[in-house]
Amino acid sequence: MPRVSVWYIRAALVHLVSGAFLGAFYLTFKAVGWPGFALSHLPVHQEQMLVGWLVQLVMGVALWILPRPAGWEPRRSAPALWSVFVLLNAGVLVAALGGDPALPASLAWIGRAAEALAVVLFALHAWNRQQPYRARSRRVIV
Amino acid sequence: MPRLTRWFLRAAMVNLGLAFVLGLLTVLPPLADEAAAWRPAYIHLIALGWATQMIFGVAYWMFPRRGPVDAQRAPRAGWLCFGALNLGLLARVASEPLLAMRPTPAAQGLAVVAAVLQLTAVLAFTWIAWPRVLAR
Repeated sequence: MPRVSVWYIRAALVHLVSGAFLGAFYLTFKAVGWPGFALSHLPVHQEQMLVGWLVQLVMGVALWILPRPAGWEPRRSAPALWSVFVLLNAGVLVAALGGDPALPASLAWIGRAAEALAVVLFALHAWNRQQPYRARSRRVIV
Repeated sequence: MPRLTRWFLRAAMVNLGLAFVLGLLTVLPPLADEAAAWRPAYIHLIALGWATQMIFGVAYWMFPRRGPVDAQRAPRAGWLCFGALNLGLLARVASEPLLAMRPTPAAQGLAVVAAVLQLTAVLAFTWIAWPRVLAR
């Protein structure tokens, strides 16, 4: 498994555990009004589970498992893939904080913009790594 | 494919089916009037019962194994994860709509049990998966 995939998948697991704790606290809060949970954490749970866990895990596994075309140099892709990692994780945290009414609402769109940029960079990388059998001539863009 | 993976994948498909049945029922009377109360159960059946459970099953099968250490500890934690995830989801579907419509002590207790079980499932999976995510 490439090192970049290890980072994506482990970060996804961190989001899964963190999001599961928040989800469990929220369900408990709904059931018995347990005061340890603030309602403002619900957007953090949603953002972590959807983007931080599901999307990031799929990206990490895709980078590991998609075919590598002939002539592909992993070093050329590395800066873009690490940028995706940083943008996606920063985006999740910033967008989640944007759901807190006590914080500026602009955080939500800044976070979402970072996530969108991460997805575009990832798609540019992954686009030509889908190939029919025996076709290995296409070039990866980033 | 390990036996546990087959159970994960089949349970995922059952949950997806249940989610779509629930989705259909909540746009028809009499549940349509209380659709908002059923919404979290519907979302969790898809996101946790289907997508996450499918990922757990495939990851259990395909993530690289380090050898006897993983082979030894994986089955027990894996079955714990499977049981806790599905029982927790069942408890959640049974209790969460009631919390919004007609909260009872039984529903409240069941919801707390659901929260604990689902968290247990996630922790068990992470315990299995983390050491198997290895750079070559």
